[in-house]
Amino acid sequence: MNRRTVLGAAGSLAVGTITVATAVVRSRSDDAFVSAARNGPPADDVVTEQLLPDTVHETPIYTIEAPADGATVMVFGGVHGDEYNGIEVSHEVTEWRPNAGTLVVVPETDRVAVENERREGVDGDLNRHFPIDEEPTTELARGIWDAVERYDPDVVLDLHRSLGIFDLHQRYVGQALFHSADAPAKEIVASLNDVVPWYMPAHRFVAEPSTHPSPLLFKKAAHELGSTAYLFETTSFMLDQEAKNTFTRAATARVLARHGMLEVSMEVER
Amino acid sequence: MTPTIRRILAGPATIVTFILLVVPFGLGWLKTALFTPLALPGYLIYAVGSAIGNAIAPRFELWVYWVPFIAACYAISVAVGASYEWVCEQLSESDQ
Repeated sequence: MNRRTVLGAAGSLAVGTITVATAVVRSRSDDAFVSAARNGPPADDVVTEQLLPDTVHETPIYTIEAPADGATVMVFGGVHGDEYNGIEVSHEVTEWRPNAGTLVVVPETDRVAVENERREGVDGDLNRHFPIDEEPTTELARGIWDAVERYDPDVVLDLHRSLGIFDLHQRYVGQALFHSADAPAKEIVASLNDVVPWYMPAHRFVAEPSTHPSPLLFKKAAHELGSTAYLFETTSFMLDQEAKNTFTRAATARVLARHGMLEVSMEVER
Repeated sequence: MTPTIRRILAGPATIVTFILLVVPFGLGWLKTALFTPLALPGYLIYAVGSAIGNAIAPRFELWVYWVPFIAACYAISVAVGASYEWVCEQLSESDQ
């Protein structure tokens, strides 16, 4: 085999790879859950209010009232300011139109951290400021918790991003849906894994019950308000921003669907 | 003819195997949409290698495992290249 043959083989390989990839990208864009969330009926009402107005933490809360009664779901992005998938997708979610229920979205929960593009805001890691059965420990955490108590959500979904993969890399928790004991997380994850290509087996999502008390927002909501609570983690490991957003978007739509907000069932997608 | 060290280290079978392991995975690393089934061998080598590395040295970021990944892919390629040369040699001897 001479050099020309080797170069020809490498060129054919590159063309073949791009052709297959184009087909894969096309199939991934056809997500029935996201489509249902984007193309639902016009909302009865969309309200924007400010959390902690006239403070450094001031950030909008969007409330979308669907035409039919249903669950109240709160979606948080930007609890960590450098986890852009949660921020970008929750901004998208403010444009979604569920069929039933009330969708409450906080896209930039720790606004200072988001503006600085850093994990932590002025008082450190926001997701360590929500001790169970105690008052939240910072002004921002108290403001958020006041809003959570006011909306009294049936479901809380907090969107995050890790650097590695749960159970593969010791320190990291990516590609996992942590959840309260009552959550139908296995069903959601089974559907979400339809979005993960079969040839990326390490990236398949896992559902992990999270019952040990610790000062995380979703755990406080589960323990004190009885909310069905989720913390979603995708990963930066081998994934670009577009892929992280795709997984985050797909997970959010599935949580809404499973809790009755969208007219699409898990069985439809399979 | 006995294969030379140079042919085992940089022969066509070695180079093609190396390209097959590294290029499809590298494309997927650059842009996730470019991950394809062709990237699976490289993907598995990187995933397992980074898991072992992370267990031994948890402080390192996961991109640093590109260095051992390239080394591992080359070692595998050399093994494939050597096997290929050996098979070719056996076939040519049986023809004589």
